[in-house]
Amino acid sequence: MASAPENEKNASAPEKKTLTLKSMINNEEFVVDEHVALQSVTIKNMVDSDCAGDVIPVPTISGEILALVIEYCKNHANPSASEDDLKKADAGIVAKDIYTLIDLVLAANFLDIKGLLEVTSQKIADSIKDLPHQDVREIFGVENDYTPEEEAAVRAEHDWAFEGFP
Amino acid sequence: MAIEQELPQDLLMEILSRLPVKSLLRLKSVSKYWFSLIQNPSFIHLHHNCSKKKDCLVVMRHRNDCDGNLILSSVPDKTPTHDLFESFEGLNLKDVNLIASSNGLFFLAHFYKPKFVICNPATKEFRILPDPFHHARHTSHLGFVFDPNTKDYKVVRVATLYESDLTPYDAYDSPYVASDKDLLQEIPIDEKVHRYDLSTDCWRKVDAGVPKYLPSVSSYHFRNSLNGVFYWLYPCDYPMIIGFRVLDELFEEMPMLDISWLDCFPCTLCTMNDSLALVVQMCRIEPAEEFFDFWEKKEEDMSSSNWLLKGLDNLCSGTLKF
Repeated sequence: MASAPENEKNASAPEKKTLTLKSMINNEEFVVDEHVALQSVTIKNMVDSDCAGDVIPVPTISGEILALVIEYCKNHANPSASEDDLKKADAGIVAKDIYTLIDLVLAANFLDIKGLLEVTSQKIADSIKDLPHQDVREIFGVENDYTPEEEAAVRAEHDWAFEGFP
Repeated sequence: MAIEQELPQDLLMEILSRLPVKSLLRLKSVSKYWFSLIQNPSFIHLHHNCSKKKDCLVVMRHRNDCDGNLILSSVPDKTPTHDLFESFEGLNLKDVNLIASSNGLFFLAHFYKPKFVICNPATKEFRILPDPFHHARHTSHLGFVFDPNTKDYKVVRVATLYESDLTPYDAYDSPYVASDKDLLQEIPIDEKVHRYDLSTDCWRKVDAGVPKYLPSVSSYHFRNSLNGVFYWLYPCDYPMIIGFRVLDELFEEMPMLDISWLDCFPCTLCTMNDSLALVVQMCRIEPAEEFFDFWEKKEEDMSSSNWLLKGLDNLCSGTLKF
């Protein structure tokens, strides 16, 4: 994209370009500055290859999660934010229950926002690290395909790691 | 309550790679799929890279005064409290020496028998290596290295053959080990290089010419490895560093830091910020004090002897591994 000469830019009274993101789950729409939305590599690729219309539909992400994603992008698009500020803001965004966090990590993965993916993954890891494996199994909706004997054998391999766990 | 959609594998790996080992060992019980994911070498590699950024474990080596057993303790807060081997049940640590660590694993060798152990302090697992080839029982040199290409751990052993080795012995535990004095009177016939791969759990012969003057296996110098090459420091009278590349199984020599007074001070080879470094322990008489010089090797190129003196201030941000 060729940038316009400086004087021409001033003449046309620079209007900030915006994009509209629309959650396809509950049809909620969010108008965001383009440079904020472009932190998502997925959206950037769409814009760069001219496949983005005025409204960008975001499948499988709810409005509630999309709002969190946009909050993260806004914070990180602010050039005057210090590293400390960003850390605090990130911690606020991921201070959610485990199910919201998993939705958020899926969204960060789909939209390809590396920083958000990392900070959310870390928070999920921190939340499950002291949980019994039965609880983790339930949260992640994993079917237990071990027979009781097999499960006991796997557990016996590292019995010390289960100290204090059911 | 459970999540509605299953997490894709790469996302699940991203999350699990941030968990401590103890949690992962428990989560192997979630399902067969989670078990295979956590056991998977590429996951282990990812996990290791992730934890490398966060944790730095300083390990101290000392011996128990009562039974002479080797004790390795972690020093997170500079007080040696936690014995890393406390719960290695069934592992006899008498008469063993810590030879090297690579990528989180430790390699131990018996002082005078060809018995070797690889252990993982994080999972408390250990593996006693199968006996190496029957003759060539006298280990002269050892190295332990993580090969980033195959993501496998390898042991390289140089064995010296003496005439007495050609006489067959019935059992491995028979008192075949000649004392150093006996060996001095014997003439070495040959040197053989053997390599052990953790993934296949077996030894095989390696066709590599052994350079002269390798430091003795009994030397307390810790072996270092970096990017699939492990390094030894030559003895003082022959100022060279020797490397063994597992990729093409070649020994190579590298010029040592070229300073005339260097042979007056003890040196240790280590790795620092993913490059090779030399620590020189120096002392001053007036005023009496000990201090260290750190020299970092600039390039990976073995032939150059381009060393850079690093001040202690520069070290604070780096991780130093002995």
